[in-house]
Order: sequence, then C-alpha cells, then structure tokens
Amino acid sequence: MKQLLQIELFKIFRRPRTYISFGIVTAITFVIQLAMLTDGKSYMSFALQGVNEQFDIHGNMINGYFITYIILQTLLIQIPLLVALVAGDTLAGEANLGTLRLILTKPISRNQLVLAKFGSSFIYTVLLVIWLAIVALGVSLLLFGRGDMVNIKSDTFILILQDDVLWRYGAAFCFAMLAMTTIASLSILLSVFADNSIGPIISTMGIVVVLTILSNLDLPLFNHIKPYIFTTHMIGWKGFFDDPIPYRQIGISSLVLVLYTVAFAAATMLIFNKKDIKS
Amino acid sequence: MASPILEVRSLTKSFNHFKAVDDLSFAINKGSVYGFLGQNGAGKSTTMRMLMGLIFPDRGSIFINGSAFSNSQRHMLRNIGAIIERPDMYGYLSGWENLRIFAALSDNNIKAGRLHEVIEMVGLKGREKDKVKAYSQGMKQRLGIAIAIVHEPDMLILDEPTNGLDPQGIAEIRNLIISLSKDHGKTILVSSHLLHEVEQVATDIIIIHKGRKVTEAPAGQLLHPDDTMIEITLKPGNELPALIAGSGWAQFGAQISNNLLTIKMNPSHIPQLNKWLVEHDVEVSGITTQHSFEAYFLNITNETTAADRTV
Repeated sequence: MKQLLQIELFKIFRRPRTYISFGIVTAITFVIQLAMLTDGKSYMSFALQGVNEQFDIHGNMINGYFITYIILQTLLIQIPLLVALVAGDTLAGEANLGTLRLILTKPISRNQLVLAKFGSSFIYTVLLVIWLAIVALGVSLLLFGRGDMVNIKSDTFILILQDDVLWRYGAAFCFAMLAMTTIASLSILLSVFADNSIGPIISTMGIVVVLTILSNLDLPLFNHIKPYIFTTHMIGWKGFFDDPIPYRQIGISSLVLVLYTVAFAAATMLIFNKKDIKS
Repeated sequence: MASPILEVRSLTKSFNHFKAVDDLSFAINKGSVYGFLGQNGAGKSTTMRMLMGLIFPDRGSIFINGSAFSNSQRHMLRNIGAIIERPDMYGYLSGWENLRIFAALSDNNIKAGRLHEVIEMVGLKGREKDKVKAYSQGMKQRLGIAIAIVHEPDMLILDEPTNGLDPQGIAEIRNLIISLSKDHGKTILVSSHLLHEVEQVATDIIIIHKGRKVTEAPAGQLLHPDDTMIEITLKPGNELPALIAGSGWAQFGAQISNNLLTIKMNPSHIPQLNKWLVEHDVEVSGITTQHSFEAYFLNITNETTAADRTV
C-alpha cells in the first residue's frame, strides 16, 4: 500500500498540470496583495464606513491577517476547482491515457488502487492548502505586518487582538483541508464514471456551485435541506473568526464533511470494483 | 498430467444485447505459444480483458494454475504479464520511470539490475531515459513487453502486439516472442487478426468467431502444406476439364471455373503440374498460392457465418 501511494504521488508531482494549481494560487494571492498594497486604505474606509461613525479605530487595520481573510474569501470557489483539477483526473485521466488498463493487469487489488488514489489526492490537497497558507498568510504578514484583525460581517464587526489570531488561522487552514478533501473525494467518485478528466472536473464544479447557491439561499424550501448539504459546512472555517467561536457548530460541520468524504470513498470503491474497464 | 497454466470454462460476456464472448472454453498448457485468432470484433480482446480481471464475465470461470480466479484473487496475476491492446504509458515520464512504476506494481522487490536486463532484452538500451511521448509505436510496444516480463511471470498474454507497427517493427516483436518462448520458457497467449504473424510463432491455435470458439488444435495440424490452395489462371479456350478428370490431379480436388483452376495440394507439386499443363498445350497466365492457414481460417469463419444465417 505504501509503495502504491508513493507511485501515485510520484505521478502527481511529475506532471506539469499539478504545478498549475500552485501557480494559480500564487497568482491570485499576489494580485489581491498588490491591490491591497496600492488601494488598501480606500477599501478599508469603504468597508468600515458605517463603523467609523460610531467607533474611533486606530492602528494598522490593513495588516497581514486582514488581507489573508480577504484572500480566503476570494478563493472560496477557485480552490475547489484546483483540487478537482487533480482529483478528477485520478481514475478518469488514467482511463483516458489507457494506463488504467495496464495498471489493472498487475497483481494489485482495485480497493488498494482506489485507496492510493484517495491518499495521494488528499496529500496533494493538503499541500495546496499549506501552500495557500504560506503565500496568503506568510507573504501578507511580510508585506503588511501584524495587527489586530477586523472581521467585518453584514451585521456585526468583530475585532480580534493580534496575539489571538495566528492559532485561529492554523485551525481555519486545518478545517479548509478537511473541506477540500471532501471536494477531492467527490471528484474521485465522479472520476470513476468517466473516461476523460474534463467530465469529473466540470461536474465537481457544477455540483459545488449549485449546492453553494442552495446553501446561501435564504428560502424556507431549502432551509430544511441546508444542514445536510456539504457545501453549507465547507465555510465552517469562518467560525474560527467569530466571537465566541461556535465550537459545537464547527464540530458538526467537521463531522458532516468527514461523513461525506467516507461516503464518497466507499461509493467509489463499490462502483470501481464492479466496473468493466473498457478504455 | 499437469493442470493447464490457464483454463477458461464457459466464459460468456454480453454488452447490452450484444454477446461479445459466448460459452468460450479452452486451456493453455505450459511452455506453448497459443495463437488466439479471430477477425476484428470476434471477442479476442474481451476474452483477454476477462483473463486479466479488467472485465467481469457474466458467466463462466477462469483458472490460473488450477485455482479459480476472481476480482478478490487479483494476487494470482503475479504469475502473468500482459499487454491488452495498445501499451499506453505515461508520456511525461521516461521509459525507465514507466518500467520502474509498473515493475513496482508487479513486485516490490525487483532490483534495478533486472530493469536494465529487460531494457536490454527488448532493445531499448540507450533510449530508456527518453520521455515515452518521444517513442515510436514500436518502441512503446517493446517497452510494453518489458513491463509485461519484468517480474518474470510464467505466462504472457499479448493482445495484438504488432498492431500499428511497420514491417520491421512486426519482425522485431515476432522475434522477441519467439525468443521469450524458446530462450526464456514463457507460455504465451498471443492474439492477432494477422494470420501470417501468428502462424510464424504459434505452436497451438485457437480460433474464435463471433465470440465462439470454432477450432482449437496444434498449429502443425492446421497448417499442413498439403492443404495449400493453388489457383492457376488459364488462357481461355482449352479443354482442360476433360483432361483433368482423367488425370492424377483429380485426386487433389481440382476444379475449374471461369478459366481458373483451383487445386488443394502441397506447393512442392506446382512445377510438376505446370509442366503437365504445358505438355498438354494449356497456356498458363498466372499461378498464385493461397496460404493454407488463411484458406482454412476464411473457410471456417465463413462456414460459421453461413451457419448463423441459416439459424
């Protein structure tokens, strides 16, 4: 199993496509950082226009923590796409290349192969989120420095003291890893049905976009199903920047995401074990 | 008697309503080279995919060294190396990296020395560090064979290994198959629709048509030179039918139709027949030999098709 996992990782990280994701994350982050570097003050005064009338705020508000929060909000849709780009290719890409046929002439079980695919996709996902943490948080702190973090919500304004922020980002990035592995699992599941990787990548994004819209629509019809949709729980990382932190809700969201991940993996194994390889 | 290295019993597979393989049974004995023949779409690849666990049969069983093979027993494939259809590999990796990956999937303990050995055996020495996307079709086929044999299996399953190759590539693969059988003692099941190719390497032949086995026999039995079909084109206006009927050539089943004399016999008799025709003032404008096996194959597959139509 360890050998299989090493092989899968070797294949992922020897492929140029893999590094496109890291490049895109870097580029988007850099663009936001550049924009905030040149136009951050007017953005901040616009964001705080209601608050400034009631409070007198001093200090470095456009700091690395604040910028990172903006970057994470912006990348909410892009990161799942970048995860799907690799995870959606795991089985379907091999089928398209014809290598799945050659792999399965070897004495390895289909379950082992699926598990190795999941394991390698999860490692890729985790590394992508760590990279995001480095370029978003690390570089933003270098460029903008530290300071108390302002979390502006539609109806509230939360100020988190600078010494209390870093661990929250650590927790938020860990949660993001969990959420993104759920996306990776969905992509791999969809990958079983296809013989080229475009289908699973587009399908994953379609599902994420539609379910995110459902999760955000405040209509009675959808309110009943929202707690069961995984996209509702994917934004659970934001809870770490609330006051007080809704630990119970974050726990429930984590559990739902884990259950979805396990269910997607189980379904993948079940289907792949019955699938005729005709590609 | 030792049990066959591979045995198939009543293998059946349908795709929707199309029966690709129908109640197919055969056995492969150790040390032989089996030619698995059939027209395009006869069910050869589907059968080979079932043998390797890529496709699940609707009915029937596969036995490897006497033990039943199923999806939960994939470790049994340790003793088999295969190329099913094209040997597709990772184009962005080198030949060496591809070989290393697939070798590790076959057996964790394969050493670099063995990889060098098979690279040399298939004639890729010096090109193993090149990316596979730069390989010709022939080189990919040879790398595919290297991948199939790297873990030293007793048996090889090669599905159309000469597909898409130029004559030189075909000859190289043919020689490699012969060498693997004779020098390395591999049992080989090789499918093809190129009869001439199979004829040159196979010790035994299985012919399938429309998913069903139509014949299975030692190659020597099917390829007897006495069964060669000889066609002689004659100039019009001769009285050959009467001459032939009264001659010794009649015993070879000679028939004349539209100035074409067809006769089934050993090609070594051709000079004698030609001489006889000249002596009887019959002008010959052409002589062709239809390969014995080709004739046999076409005959047997056509017979099956005709029988299907009758049914």
